[in-house]
Amino acid sequence: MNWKKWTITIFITLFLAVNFFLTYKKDSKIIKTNYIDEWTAVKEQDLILAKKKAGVITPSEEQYVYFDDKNGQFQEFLVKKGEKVQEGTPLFAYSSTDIESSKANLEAEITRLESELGSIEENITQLESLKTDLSAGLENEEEVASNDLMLIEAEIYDKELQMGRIESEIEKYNTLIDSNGKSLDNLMIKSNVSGVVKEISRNLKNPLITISSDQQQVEGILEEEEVLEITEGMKVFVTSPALKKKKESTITEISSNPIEQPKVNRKSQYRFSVQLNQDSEEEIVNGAHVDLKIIKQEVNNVLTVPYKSIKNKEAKSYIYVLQQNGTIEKRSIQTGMHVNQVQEVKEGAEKGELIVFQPSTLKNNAPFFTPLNTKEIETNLIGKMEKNEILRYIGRGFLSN
Amino acid sequence: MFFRVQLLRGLFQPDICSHQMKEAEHIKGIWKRLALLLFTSLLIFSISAFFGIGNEALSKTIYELSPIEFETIKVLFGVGQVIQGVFISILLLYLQALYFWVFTAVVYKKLVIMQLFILTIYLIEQALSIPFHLLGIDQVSLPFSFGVIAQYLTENELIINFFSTITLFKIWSVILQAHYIKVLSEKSTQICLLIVIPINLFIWIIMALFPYIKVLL
Repeated sequence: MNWKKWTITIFITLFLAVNFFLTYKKDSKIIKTNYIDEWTAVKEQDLILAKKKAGVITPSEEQYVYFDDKNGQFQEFLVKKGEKVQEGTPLFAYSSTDIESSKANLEAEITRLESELGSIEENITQLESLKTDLSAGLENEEEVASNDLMLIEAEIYDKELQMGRIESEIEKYNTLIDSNGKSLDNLMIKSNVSGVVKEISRNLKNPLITISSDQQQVEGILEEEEVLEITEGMKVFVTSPALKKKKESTITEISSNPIEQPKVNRKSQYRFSVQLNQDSEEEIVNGAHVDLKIIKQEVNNVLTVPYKSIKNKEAKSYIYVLQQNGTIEKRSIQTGMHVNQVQEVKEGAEKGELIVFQPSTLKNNAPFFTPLNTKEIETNLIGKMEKNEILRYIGRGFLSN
Repeated sequence: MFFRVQLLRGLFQPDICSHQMKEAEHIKGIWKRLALLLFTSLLIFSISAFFGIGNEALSKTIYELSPIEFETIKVLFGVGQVIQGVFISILLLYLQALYFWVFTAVVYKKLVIMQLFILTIYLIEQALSIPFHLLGIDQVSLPFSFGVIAQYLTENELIINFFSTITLFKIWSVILQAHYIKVLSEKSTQICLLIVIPINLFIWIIMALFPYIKVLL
C-alpha cells in the first residue's frame, strides 16, 4: 500500500515541478493574466524641489563710527541709544577749542614770519642802495670797489634765498590754516545710513557708535553638503507667525568662508543671507525667527506619475499602462525631476492614461482583471439601470470562461 | 446498519466507506453535508468573483466608464459568476448521479452521496485556483492541469483548452467514482471504467468548448 502511495506522491510532485518550471522559466510563453488591484492616472502638475531652513532677521548693514583723537577732542554725543537716524543725521561733535588755539598759533607764526620777511626786504633794499652807491663811486677806486661789489651782490643773493625760504614757510602755514578750516567743518560727524542707533560707547572706546540699518535681511546657516546644492540667486519664500503674508526674495549671498575656523573633525557651516525688501505694510523686528523655503528646482505643467509606479531595470524606467483593449502595456519612459513621491515623466506617457500603482511582476500584453472595490459601489446605480442591462451583465458573468 | 456521511473519510478511505455505503440501510447526515457543500461553493465562488477573477472582458471599459459604473458592472458580472458556480455544483451532484443511476442499478441516493465526495474535490480545486489566479496565472495555465504542457506542445486553442480541463483533481475524481461504482454495483472493473470515463470526458469536452459557445451567444 505504501509503495502505491509513494509512487502517486512522487508522480504528483514531479508533475507539479515540471509545470512550475515551464511556467516560470525565462521566455515562457504560457498564457498569463494580470491581477491589478490599484491604479492611478498620469497627472499634469507643477513640481517644486525645495529645502526648508530656519532663519533670523538681522539688519543688512551695520555702520560703525569711530573717534579719532587726532581730529580733536571729544565734545558731546548728539544721539541716544535706540534713536532713529537718517542719512546725514549728526551723531557726535569734536570740540573746536583745540583747533581754534592751533589756528591762533599758526596765525601768530605767520605774523612773525611776515615781519621777518619785512626786515629781510629792508635788508635787501639797504644792500641795493649800497650797491648803487658803490657802482657810482666805482669810477674812482676800481679794484677795491669791484670786490666789495661782488661781496654785496653775494649777500643780496643770500638774503633773497632766505626770503624765498620764509615765503614758502608762510605758504605752509597758510595751507595748515586752510586745512584746519576744513577740520572745523568736520567737527560734526554724520551718519551714512538710515537706521537705529544700536550702541553708544560712553567711555569713548572704538567703535564709538554702532548704527543698524533699516534695511533688513534674513540670515541662515548652511551645512557643508547643502552648500553644494544651494546657489546665490535661488528663489526663497519667507514665512513667520509675525508676517501675515509670505515674502518672496532670493539668496543674495553665501559666504565662501565657514563661520568657524575649519577643522578636520568638525563639519563646516556657512552663513547665507536673503535680502528683504522694505515693506511699508509689515514690519518685523530684528532677531525674529522665520522659516525659509529655498526653491532648488521648479518645473511647471509637467506630466507626473507616482514614484512607486515606476520600475527601474538596468538604468531604464518603465511604467505599466492599462490599455483600452483590456491589456497591460510595459512602456519605457524618460524621467525628469523627482520630488518626494512624485516623478516627472518627460516622454512616454500621456495625460489621463491609467497606470498600475505598484507593479510587481506583470506580463506585458496580457489581459488584466480587477477586484471589486466596494467603496465605489452605489446600489442606487443598479436601481437606475435598465432591467435588460442588469440581466445582460449577470448573464455575461454566468457564461464566463 | 447505519452509515453516516463523512466527506473526508469518503475521500481518503474509499474502500471502507464504499463497503459501508453498500451495506447501509439508513443513511444519516446527507442534508447537513449537502447544505455545507452548497454553502461552501457559494463562499468560494463569491471570493473568486470578489477578486475579479475572470472579469478580464470587462477591463476594456475602464476608460469609458466612471469608477462607479465600472464597479457596478463588475458586481453584476460577479453575481453571474457566483450563480454559474453554484449551478455547476448542483448539476455535478444531481445530473451526474442521474447518469450513473441510468447505467447502474445503484440506489440514486447513494449515487448522490458519492457525488458529494466528487463535489468536495471540485470545490477544493476551485479554492486552490484562486491564489494562482492572483499570482497572474490564467485559467488555462494552472499548474495542476495539463494545460501548461499542452501549451508547449501545440498552438491549437481547442486542444489547449481541453487539456487544461484535465487536472489532477479530475483524475482523482474519476478514480474515486470508478471505485465506488465498482463496489456499489458489483460490476467488473472494465465495465465501471466504461461507464465512468465517457461521462467525464463528455463534461471536459463541453467545458473546453464553452468559450466558443459564448461567442455564438
